[in-house]
Amino acid sequence: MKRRREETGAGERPSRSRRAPSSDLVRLDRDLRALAIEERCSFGSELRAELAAEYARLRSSGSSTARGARMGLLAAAVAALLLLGVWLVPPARASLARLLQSAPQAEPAVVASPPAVSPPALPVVIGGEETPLRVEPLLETALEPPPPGPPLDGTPDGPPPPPPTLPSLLDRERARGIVTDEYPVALQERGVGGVTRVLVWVCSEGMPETPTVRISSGVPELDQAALRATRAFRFVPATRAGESVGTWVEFSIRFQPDAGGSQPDPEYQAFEIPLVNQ
Amino acid sequence: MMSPPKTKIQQRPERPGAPTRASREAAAQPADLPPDFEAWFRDHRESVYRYVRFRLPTREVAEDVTSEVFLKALRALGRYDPTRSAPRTWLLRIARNAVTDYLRALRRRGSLHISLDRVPDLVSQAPSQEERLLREEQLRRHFNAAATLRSADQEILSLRYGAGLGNAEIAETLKITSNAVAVRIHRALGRLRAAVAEDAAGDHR
Repeated sequence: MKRRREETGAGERPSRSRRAPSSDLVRLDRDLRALAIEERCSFGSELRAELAAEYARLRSSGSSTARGARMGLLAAAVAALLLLGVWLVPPARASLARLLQSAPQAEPAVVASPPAVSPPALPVVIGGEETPLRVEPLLETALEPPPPGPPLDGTPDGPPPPPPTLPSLLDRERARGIVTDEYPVALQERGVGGVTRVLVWVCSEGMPETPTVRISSGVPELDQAALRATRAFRFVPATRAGESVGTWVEFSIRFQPDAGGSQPDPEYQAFEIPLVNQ
Repeated sequence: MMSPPKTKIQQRPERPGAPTRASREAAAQPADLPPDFEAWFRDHRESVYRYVRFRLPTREVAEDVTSEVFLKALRALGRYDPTRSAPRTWLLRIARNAVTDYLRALRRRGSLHISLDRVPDLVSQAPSQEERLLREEQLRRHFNAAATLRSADQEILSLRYGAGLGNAEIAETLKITSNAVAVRIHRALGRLRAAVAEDAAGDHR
C-alpha cells in the first residue's frame, strides 16, 4: 500500500493543488482503497456458463459454415458439369434451348447460371423429341435414428443419487465470532438483547445473498447487526443429486447479553419447515 | 444441547431479469472454454467487474456490461495479439469501450444521473462497526461526487480503485506514461475532493 501511495505522487508536476496539504488526498486514497465491491456470488458461475454456451455456439456455427461452403462448391461443380454435358448432347441442347426460351415465364433466377452461354434467338429442335426434366436432390440428409429414450420400466441405470442435503454453516465458531463482533457494544452494556429471524438465499457456492429480516427483534440496531452478520456467514451449500444448489434458508440469530459470558447464538431456529423444492 | 437444525428450503421466486433456475443449474455444470480464455476469466473477471462497477451506478448494470465484455472478448479471441498487450489490458480496453457505449446510450435517453444513495454491494473494510458505517457514508459521498467528475477522471479513478491497477498497467491501458498517470490521478483525486466538499456544503445549505 505504501508503495502504491508513493506511486500516486510519483512524477507530479508542481501545481496549485500541490500546495494544499495532501493529507486529505492521502486519506481519500486510503478510503478508496478500502472500498470492497461485493460481487454477487453466483455471478461468476452464471457468466461462465453463458460464455461456455456462446463458445459452443461459435464452434458449431463455424464448423457448419465451413461444411456449408464445401457443400456449396461441390454443388456448383456438379451443376457446371451437368450443364456442360447437356450442352454437348444435341437433343438435350435443343431442350435446353427451349427451356431457356421459355425461361421468363418460369424462374428467372435459374437462367442466370452460365453467363457465357447466350440463349438462341429461336428454338432449335433437333431429333424432335424432348427429354423430360427430372429433378433430383443433390444432397440427401441422412436421417439419424432417434436417441434412445429412458428405460420403459422407469428405472435408471447405476446407483441411486445421494439424498439431498441442507446447507450448514461452514465454520460455526467463526459465525459465533461474527455475531459477537456485530452485536453493538452499547446495547450489550445496556443489557438489550433479542432474536432476529433472517431469510437468506444461500447460493450454490455457499454465499449468502439478499438477506432480509423475517421477524424483527424489535430493536432496529439488532436487526441490522443480524443482517450484517448473515452477509459475513459462509455456508456449505445444499445439494440435490450430488450437485450443489441454491436454497432459501431461514434461521434466527440470538443476541443475548450475559455477564457470564454466553455468546450470541447463530444456530438455525426454524425447525418445522419442510423441503419443498423437490 | 441443541436439537439438530432444520432449515427452510423453498423455491426462490425469480426476479425480472434474474438468472433462471435452469441457468443456475447450467452454471454448476462444467463446460468447455478455450484454455487461455478460461485462465483469463478466472484471473481477471474480478478486476474487470470492479472496474465496470466503479463506473456504473448499479450492480445489475455492471453485471450486464461485464458479461458483454467477456462475450465480446470470446468472439474476438482470434484477433488478440499477445505482443501488443497483456490479457488484462486487452480485457480492460474492451471494458472501457463497453462502459463508454453504455453511458452514451444512457445519455441519449437522458437518464445518466442515477442516485447512488443505495449501494449495498459497496462496503468498506474498516475494522470496527462504527468506523465502517462512517466510512461507508463517506464512500457514498465519494461515489455521488465521482459521478459528477469528467469522464477522464472517472476513467482513471476506476482503473486505479476499481480494477486495482498500478500506474504502469494504467499507463499501458491508456497508452500514456506512468508519470502522466500519477499526475492525472493526483488531479482527479483533487477534483474528487473538491466535489465531495461541494456536495457536503450543498447538504448543509
